[in-house]
Amino acid sequence: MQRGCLAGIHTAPARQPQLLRVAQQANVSVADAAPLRKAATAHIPGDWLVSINSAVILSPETISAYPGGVINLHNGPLPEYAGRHVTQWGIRNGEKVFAATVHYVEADVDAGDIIAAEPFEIRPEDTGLSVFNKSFKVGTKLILTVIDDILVGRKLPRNPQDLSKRKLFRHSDALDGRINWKWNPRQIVDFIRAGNYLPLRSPSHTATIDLSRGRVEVFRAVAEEVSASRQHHSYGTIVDVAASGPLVTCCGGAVRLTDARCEGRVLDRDKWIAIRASIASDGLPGRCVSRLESDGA
Amino acid sequence: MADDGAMEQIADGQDLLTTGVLDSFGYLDFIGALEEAFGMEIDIAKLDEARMVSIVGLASILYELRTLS
Repeated sequence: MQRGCLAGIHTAPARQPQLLRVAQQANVSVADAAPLRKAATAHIPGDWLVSINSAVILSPETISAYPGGVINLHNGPLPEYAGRHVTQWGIRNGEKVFAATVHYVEADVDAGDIIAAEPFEIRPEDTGLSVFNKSFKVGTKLILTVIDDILVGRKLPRNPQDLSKRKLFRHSDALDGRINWKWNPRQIVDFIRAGNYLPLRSPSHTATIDLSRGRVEVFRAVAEEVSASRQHHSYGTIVDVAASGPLVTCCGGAVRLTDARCEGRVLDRDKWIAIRASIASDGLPGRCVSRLESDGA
Repeated sequence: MADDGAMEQIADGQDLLTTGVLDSFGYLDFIGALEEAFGMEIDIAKLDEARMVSIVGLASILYELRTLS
C-alpha cells in the first residue's frame, strides 16, 4: 500500500448513502461488508484492513488474508466492554470514564491485542448519542494516529487483553426497552438516557412504557427523593404529576419522567393526568409491590 | 448534492434526517464539520433535538453558542 492510499471501504452501502457518495467522489472503491463474514478471501486487496464502526464478524480467512493485520476501532474500553452498543452499556452501568480502543482483530469478537486506547468522560447529562459521538471523535483521532504509524512502517504495540476481565455485550442483550421499576432511581435515569439517541433512532433500546392506549417512549428523567409518607407506594406508581412530568416511585426513591412521548408527541401534564386517571391504583405497567409494602409496613 | 452530482435545494426549515438529506453517519459528520468550521463544541446532549435537524435550527444553535461564549 502506498502512503496515503486508501484501498477501499467495506460497509453496508444501502444504509450509508452519504459515505458511498463521499467515497465515489474520492474514487475510493466501496464493497458490501456482508460477504466478509464468510468469504475465503477478502474482496479488497491490501496489506491492512481497517474496521471502523462495524458490526461484521470477520471470518478467519478474511483476517489472515491481510499480511499486515486487521485492526478495529472499538468504541469502548477492553476487555471490560466488548461487543455491541457498549457506549450505551457504559452509561447504564454508571461509568464515569470510558475509552475508545484500537485493537488487532482475531476470531473472537474484540478480543485481539490492544494497540492504543484513549479515555473520555461520560457526564451525568450525556445521552446515548452524545457518548457515541464522543467515542467516535476520540476514536477517529486515535485510529488516524495508528494508520499514520502503519504508513511510516512503525511497529505497532501489542498489549494482550486480560480475558479474565472480558465482558461481551450482544445486540440481543440491549433490545428490551421496558423500564424496570425495581431498579433504583440512578439506574432508571441512566437506562433512559442511554436509550436517548435523539434526533436519531437508537440502535438498541429506547426506554418504554407500554400503556393500553399505546407505547410511551421516555427520553429524559431525573432522580428525585420522595417523602417518607410516599415511600410505601409500590414501585411504578405515579405519585404526582407536575408541569415537568409525572413522578414515579421505584426502589429507593422516584424518578420524574421529564421527556416522554407517544407516537412522537410530547406528553404534557394534562395527558399524564389523563393517563394516571385511566390506570388502576396509579400503577404503570411493571408496577410491583415494594419490600416495605409486602412486609406490611 | 444529488446522486447525479447536481446541487439539491434544501429549505431552511427542512428536516435533514426525515427527508433523507443526511443519514446517521452524515449527520454526525455534519455536526463535526460545523464544530470545526465555527471552532466550538456542539453538545448534543444539551440541545433541543427539534432544532438540531434543520439548517435554520442549527444556525440558531450556533448563534446562541457564539453569543454565550
